Amino acid sequence: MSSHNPPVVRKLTMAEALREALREEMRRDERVILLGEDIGVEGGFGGAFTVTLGLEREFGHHRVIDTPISEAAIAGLAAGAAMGGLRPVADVQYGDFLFLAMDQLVNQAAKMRYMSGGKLTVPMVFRAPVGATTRGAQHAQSPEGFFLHVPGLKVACPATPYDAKGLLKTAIRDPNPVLFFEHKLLYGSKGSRKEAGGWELVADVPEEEYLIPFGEAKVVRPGSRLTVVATLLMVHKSMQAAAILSESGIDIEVIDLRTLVPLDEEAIFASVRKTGRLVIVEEDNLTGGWGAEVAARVADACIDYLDGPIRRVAAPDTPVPFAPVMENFYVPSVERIVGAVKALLGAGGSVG
Amino acid sequence: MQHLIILPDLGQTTSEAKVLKWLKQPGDPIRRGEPLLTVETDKVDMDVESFADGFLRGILVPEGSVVAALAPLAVVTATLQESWMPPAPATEQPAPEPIVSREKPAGREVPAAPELPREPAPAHEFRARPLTPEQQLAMFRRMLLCRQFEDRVYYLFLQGRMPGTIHQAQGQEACAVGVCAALGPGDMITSTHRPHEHAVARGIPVRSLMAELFARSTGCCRGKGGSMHIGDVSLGMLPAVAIVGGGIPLAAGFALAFQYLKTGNIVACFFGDGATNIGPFHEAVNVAAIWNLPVVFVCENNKYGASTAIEKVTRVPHVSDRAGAYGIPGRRVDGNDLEAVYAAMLEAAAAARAGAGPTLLELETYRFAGHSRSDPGHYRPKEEVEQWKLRDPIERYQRFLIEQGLLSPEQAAEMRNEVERELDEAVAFAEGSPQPAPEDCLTDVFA
Repeated sequence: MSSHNPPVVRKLTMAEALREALREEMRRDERVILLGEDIGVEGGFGGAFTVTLGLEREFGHHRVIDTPISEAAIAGLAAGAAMGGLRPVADVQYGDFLFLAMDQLVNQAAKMRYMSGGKLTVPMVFRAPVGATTRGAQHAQSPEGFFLHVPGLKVACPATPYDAKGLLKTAIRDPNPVLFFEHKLLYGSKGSRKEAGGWELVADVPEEEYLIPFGEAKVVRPGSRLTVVATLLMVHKSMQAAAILSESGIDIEVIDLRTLVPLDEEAIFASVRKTGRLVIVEEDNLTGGWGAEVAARVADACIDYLDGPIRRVAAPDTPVPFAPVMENFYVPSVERIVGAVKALLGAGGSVG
Repeated sequence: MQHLIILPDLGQTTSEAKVLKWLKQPGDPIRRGEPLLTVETDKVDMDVESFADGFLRGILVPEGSVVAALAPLAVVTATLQESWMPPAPATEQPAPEPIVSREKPAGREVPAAPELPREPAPAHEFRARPLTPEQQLAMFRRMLLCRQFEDRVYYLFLQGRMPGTIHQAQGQEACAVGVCAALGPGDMITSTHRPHEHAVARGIPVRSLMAELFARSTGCCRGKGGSMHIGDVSLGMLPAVAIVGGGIPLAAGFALAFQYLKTGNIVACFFGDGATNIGPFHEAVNVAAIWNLPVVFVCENNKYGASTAIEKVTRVPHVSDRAGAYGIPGRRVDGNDLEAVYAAMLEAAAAARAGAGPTLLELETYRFAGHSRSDPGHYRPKEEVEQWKLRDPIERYQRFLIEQGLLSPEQAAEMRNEVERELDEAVAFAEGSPQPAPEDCLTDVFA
């Protein structure tokens, strides 16, 4: 791009930004193929959330490959094709369906390099929409924590269209299996399907190429009194909480982890050493979520800097309920985040 | 030459066994592989076999006694004339005294060990194939290498020289060799928890396989794979997948890459009869069928998934019948007939290469060994095992080659000796190789 033409920046939704990442990478590298259910059907909907809409017209059905409803096969195809020299980007319609593919992801994709003594690479991406959206217990979970526990898998979870594009392009070029989690309420409403309760999220996304490295958290709001770490939708809820708290003179720092594996420990530790307090916000069930891992590491590395306990704001240990009133209670809310911060700072959250 | 027979390491869950009955007495002639005694563990009753030919000389533990894994049980010598010694005492423990010494006088004429009945195998189809005598002899030798590799590994285990567990494939050599002989260097195989013969047949050097089984850094997976994950992608074999059926989707995926990259290569996907009842088999065969992927699904139907007979868990009489459900050809082949397997695979491979999609090949065969090292195979009727031993693929092919005037019994014996020497070298290489450094376990997680 010449210096006379400044970068073109558009407002894109998350779905559009992800589509653009796929398109750019498919143009750049012929080895990149897409695999999934309903992703390239003419007259269809471009996957469950429109991300692949229209890509089959540019790249053809040999690169935008519609699969049967066979999640284990999709994951195995992706892993096998990756070992065979391709760069597959597979997806499931809902993150909950990952459990159908667990053997292929956990026993095969994650371990093949190791079992081969380092002779193999498995450069695949597996995309999965997560988050509760009044669909009940089996189309709603946030299973990122499961994959954090599996050596050999990387885990990305972008919260903005800008990060989504840069992280997905990085994921596609990564020589390892990457689980790529997207939140259903963040896809945006400019596509053909509007998600009830979805956030009107658009962001500046440059047309030019950029990559966002894995393992670099982003301080999305600097602050001094307390650190909040979050991912996906919870980043946005934490930002709303921060705005409310700032009205009471409480200045908190919000960190978007962006990738859980690798985890940017140093960014978390640096913030906690500065603020002395930590609240972790995650949409997953409380027990054994990624927040527990962050809490353990902070306790290990920063105990002398902590001025209070580490708090987690998470979903209760129940399946995701259907009734909107119950779901609203279940999913961590802005109010709960505000409450947790105030409780940690002392009753009422005194300034000073 | 004196051999010490020890109680095999029976696995982490079973550390000792009770001697139930001695099946042989001092002075008795012993063949390698012949049961010497029966022991009882908390899991099973099993026979302990001799790993050497010769004569039983000293019994070191009486019936009814309980012994730990790797404890010495008996002494076998190559001849009846030579003297023998009980083993040197282990640290702080008194040397085991020979409990029974009712040896027959030396020099007595000893009857040769009885021969197993050798009847002709059932009719099989050795038709003219486009195979040169050189190829036929090479395939025969490769079967010997498979069998003798497995036998060697078995006796190394009996001697407590190898860690881990093993699942062996003696009896299935014609499947491994017949299929792999139809492949080219750029093709790929996927394998199972019973992968040794597949790897040998594919041409992975036996020294790198042996070193992997010995858990050495020179192994084909640098000690990170072990028996159930041997393989070398640069030589056309993915690390074996030990989750039953778990390799089938990977095979389809690799075939998708071949198809997309237009390499003209195919994948041969090995699995057992037990794998045909797991979901990913269905998912992957279906997807390979609808996309005409260049893969051949090779089911080695050895009749048992661990100890469960296939007919107890499957309503259709033949695995190949299932092909119809996917709209692909299914073929049932005598898996103990080397050239029949080769011919069927050649045809299936040609179809796959030509873009006609997958074939489901059912190779009917039998494993002579138990499921794993601690399995004596009591769930199988003795007559069934004996019947299948009459169909031993190696004996059959040797007879055929001799009948055809391509091989003499002396040449066959020399070939076996040659293979033994190759295995001696492999074992020496493996045992002489360094262990991995403990902290090597931390590498190769991510690229």
